[in-house]
Amino acid sequence: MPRTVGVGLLFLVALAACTHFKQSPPPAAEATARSAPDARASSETPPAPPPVESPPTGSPAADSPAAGPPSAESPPAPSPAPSGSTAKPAQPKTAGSAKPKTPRITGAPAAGSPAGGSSKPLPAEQRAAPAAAEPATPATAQTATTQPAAKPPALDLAGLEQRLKDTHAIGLFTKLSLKNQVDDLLGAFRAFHGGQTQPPLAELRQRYDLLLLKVLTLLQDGDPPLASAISASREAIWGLLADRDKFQKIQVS
Amino acid sequence: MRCPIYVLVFTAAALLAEGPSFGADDTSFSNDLKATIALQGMPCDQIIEAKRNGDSDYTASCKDGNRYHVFVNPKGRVVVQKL
Repeated sequence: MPRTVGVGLLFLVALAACTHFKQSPPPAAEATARSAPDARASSETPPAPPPVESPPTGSPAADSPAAGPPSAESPPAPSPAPSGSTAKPAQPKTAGSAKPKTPRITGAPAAGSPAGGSSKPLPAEQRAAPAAAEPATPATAQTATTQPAAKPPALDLAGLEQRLKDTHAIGLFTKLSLKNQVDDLLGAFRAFHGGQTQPPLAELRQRYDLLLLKVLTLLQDGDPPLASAISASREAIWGLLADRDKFQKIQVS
Repeated sequence: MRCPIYVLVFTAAALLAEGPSFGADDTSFSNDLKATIALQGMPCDQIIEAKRNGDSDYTASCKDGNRYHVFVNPKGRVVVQKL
């Protein structure tokens, strides 16, 4: 008898807990349920779009209450979101770092090209995005400006150079040969910026791409993280080389 | 009679297991030479022999019959000459 009473009590307690639990979640669940269809209307990934959608739709002030809850819940969402998004099948090696970019690219169409900023700036953006979303709709302009500003610091030229020197994926002869070719290319850039016999910038770009391709080919099997880091920094490095002032700063340092 | 056979088998297995570690350096160096030759835009499918002539001076023979002199010149440049 006492057992049945105890079991009955336990059942009642569990039932009460369940009913209590069911009552509290609906507001949040409804909020996410409301936001999810809105997000699916534009893109396929359910969790990632809410923070992405909020900046473009932020201009109408009426959306601010609807955009608020998803952005508040977005911080946990972005990490699982990348795993689901398969927007970039062409880059299997960089998929780990590229996945978080996909929501960013869709969210900021103007800032799509400098997406090569690797995985480092993205957490900063993800931190910045919810913080900017909290103040409400006027902050959308700020988020639009902070996103491109956060990407350039990704380039760590000295770090990449050191990693290239230290890597065991490339042999000594090959490293020396690569260094020769890098020096040759730097000489060509020096001539270009110095106004001497000028190879066109397009030709320099071609040589740069070819050299980078060689480096990536050598690294992709032996040191994939370094390969992806270099690949992500491709445009940033080109920006340094192509810009006269930045190039001279590199030469000085 | 069985004991010596087992001993032989284990010895052979141990020797075989040791084999790749001896060859690993050779393989990595062959790959280094092959990559160096390829970086200069010259064909070499596989290095079958690499003869050391001196410091940073090698003669590489490829499986496809090509032979190269790979060395570092006094200016510090890697040079690959077809032989």
